Amino acid sequence: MTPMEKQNYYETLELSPKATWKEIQMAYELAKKTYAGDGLASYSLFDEGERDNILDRIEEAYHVLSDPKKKSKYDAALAASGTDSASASEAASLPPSVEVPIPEQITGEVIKALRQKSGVSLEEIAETTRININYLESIEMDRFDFLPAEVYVYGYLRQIARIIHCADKVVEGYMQVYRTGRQLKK
Amino acid sequence: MLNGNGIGRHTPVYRDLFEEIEISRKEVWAVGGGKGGTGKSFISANLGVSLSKMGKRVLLVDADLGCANLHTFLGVDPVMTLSDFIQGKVSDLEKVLTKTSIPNLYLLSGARDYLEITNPKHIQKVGLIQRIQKLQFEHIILDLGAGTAFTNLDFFLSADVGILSVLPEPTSIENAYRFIKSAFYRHFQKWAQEPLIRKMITNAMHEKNERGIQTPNDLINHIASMEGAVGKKLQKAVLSFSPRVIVNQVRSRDDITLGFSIRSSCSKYFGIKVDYVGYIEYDDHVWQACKKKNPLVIESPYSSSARCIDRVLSNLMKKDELKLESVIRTLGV
Repeated sequence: MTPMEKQNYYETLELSPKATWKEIQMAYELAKKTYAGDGLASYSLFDEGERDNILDRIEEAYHVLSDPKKKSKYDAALAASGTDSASASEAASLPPSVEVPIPEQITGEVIKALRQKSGVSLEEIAETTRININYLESIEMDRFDFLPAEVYVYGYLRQIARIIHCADKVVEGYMQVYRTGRQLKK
Repeated sequence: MLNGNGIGRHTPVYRDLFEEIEISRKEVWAVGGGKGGTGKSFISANLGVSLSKMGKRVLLVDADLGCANLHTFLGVDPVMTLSDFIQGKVSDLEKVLTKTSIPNLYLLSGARDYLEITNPKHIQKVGLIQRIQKLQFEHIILDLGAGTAFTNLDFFLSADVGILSVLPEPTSIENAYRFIKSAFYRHFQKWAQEPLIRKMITNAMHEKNERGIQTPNDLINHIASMEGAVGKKLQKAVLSFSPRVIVNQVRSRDDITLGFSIRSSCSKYFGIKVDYVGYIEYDDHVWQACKKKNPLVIESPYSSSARCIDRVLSNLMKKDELKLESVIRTLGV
């Protein structure tokens, strides 16, 4: 068994190099749950510092493997170093890179378009993030009255943005629309 | 008492699960888990009954010496027990076997009420394990007692497949890890003949040691870096130690995915591969069957917990494990 500090990102997330995008998401969510502070399966084997260290490695691995461009570069580097890497065919299982023109006003419709471009369903986002699917729908339909307080919506948007790989300015843009929409309702 | 209800009447799910499975050689499975009350006897009895329903010749061994109660799960009252054999009252182990009312299923009942055999001498234990393994059955299932006594560890390590029954509770998981750790070091020590390495393993068992070896994984890496040939041999020993885990009495989605978390933690801490072979749902049918002294898979073969047993058995026979993706897809976890 390779020591943790020498493991590649696939080993860290306990994945095959041929893992699909969906499998990467699931492995990441499970790993976070496993090594969280109250993780039933890990608290008696690892102390808090060790769990934090594992979580840092998991975040680092996910940051690269969940991003098609970074993953592709990483796979190439792994292949060059002689380590098993993902096959070319697997690229098809990853969400396509999202490069669409971003309008000035980021409404829910824009978020929806970006999500659809990335090939991820609302159900998949709900499954991965555990955000109530009604909130996800409300974000895309600009139903601001149905959404919770700003701090929560911001958190949701950050999570969605990470999954569909859109820029921070999309999150900020939507939050402006959200604030304006809430104020108008008042 | 057993009523034979359900024997041979396999559901479509059951048939699908066991298609293309063939076992030509004898397999010994041991069901342990560290803590008491995690369902070891329940699992052993129901796996045994399910195998015999498939036409396999099966022996269930109550290796919980001193606290035997596997016979109760099967609704039989053995005349002879292992204590008769260990005390030398009977020399032929086959004469101690109890025939159950299920075709092909036999029980080797553990001792009751005789304290000395709870901790048999090493030579007695080795002899007993060898005699059990020579009995003519396709499947032998050892139902172990609670705790990490050498008797339990040795029975566990003597089996082809070691199975751990765990409840989704902190105490059960802590004890399961303790059991894995103890079994792992004992297994390791058996492979290591060199006095220096044996001493190193003994030292590693103490949490604080001079070499900074914190986990079994550290120990393996330390030995591998220090002694080339010995390290390779011991790494082979690590690969041959691969317990299976069953999470019993699951009530929530988190309980179900706990098995994957246990697998991950064992991999990172012990450096070993643990297979998560399945979970068993918390189900009133279980205690109802227990109260009737009838195995669940016969009393309520279509209950959710009985179907879980089928899936566990299927994975054990196929040497497969649960897949995170399929669990999430089917349960929407």
